[in-house]
Amino acid sequence: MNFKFILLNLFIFSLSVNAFEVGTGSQFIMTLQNQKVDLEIYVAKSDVKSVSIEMHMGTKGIISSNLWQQFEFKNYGQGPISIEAGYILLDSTDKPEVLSAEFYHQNKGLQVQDFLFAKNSNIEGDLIGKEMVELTAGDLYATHYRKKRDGQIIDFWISDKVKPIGLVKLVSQSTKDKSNNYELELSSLIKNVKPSIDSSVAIPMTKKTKSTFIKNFKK
Amino acid sequence: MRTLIFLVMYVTTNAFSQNLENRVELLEKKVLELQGLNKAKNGLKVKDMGNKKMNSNKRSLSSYSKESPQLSKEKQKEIMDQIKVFKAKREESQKLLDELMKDEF
Repeated sequence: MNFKFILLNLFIFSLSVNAFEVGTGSQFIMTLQNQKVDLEIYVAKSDVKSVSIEMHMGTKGIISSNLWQQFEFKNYGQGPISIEAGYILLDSTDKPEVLSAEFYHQNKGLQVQDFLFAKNSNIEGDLIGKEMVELTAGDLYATHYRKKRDGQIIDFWISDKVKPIGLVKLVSQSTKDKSNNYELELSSLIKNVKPSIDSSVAIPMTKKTKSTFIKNFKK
Repeated sequence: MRTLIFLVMYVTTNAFSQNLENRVELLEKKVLELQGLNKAKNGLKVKDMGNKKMNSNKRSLSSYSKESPQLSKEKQKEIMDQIKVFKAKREESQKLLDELMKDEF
């Protein structure tokens, strides 16, 4: 399973609304190219000035695969949000790796930074309206937003009722990059999740990982 | 004077109508929200992960008990190698069949 398509454009956070309880989050079913992928996003660490969000993606079955990513955000709720650090852990690696700078600046449609907002007013321009979203787990009243960039359109629905992550549904469509055609649907909320990435033992990103996850990486 | 009364009445009625529309709209939204909440409460569950790490290979929660048994990394590699050999052989067979078909016609 190739996961690199969603690494840059997945995060939807409204970082100012509530305190982030460690271990809480959301579980999603991701559909891409008729395949189902498990996706969980949850709070790994949290203190007064920063919050670390971890994301796990995995496929089940006899031959399964897993990928974990963790991002540390600073100054949430007090102005601009910045990504302080990012880490990646694969099934095939023993230690987490620090995401290098080029990872964040790949010109591949919408970026992580496009989805960082501390206040609702930051995304008012993208508002479509309030809608009832039909989920397998139950319908939910949510706010619909749309973001566009570089041939990619992301429609997403968020609700305060499914905090801390807040994401209810996401539909990404791209005419330029097939890997940016996917959907996410909230399947349940989760709690008491132990993070898989220990950032204190992280090593620099290896060439092998760079070549897998960074577009146009030159060895 | 009549015109003035008419205007005052029109403005008042119009304002009242607008106010009513706004209130109806708010109530509609509220009803939708409550419906959504009720449905979500019935369907959306909170799963307790028991202080375990997320891992699609090692889930032991009841909701995942029906999934296929997991194989070790070595076994997975062995199977993948066998699949590669099988694919190569199948391609060879297909080529042979194609050649035979060409010869026949």
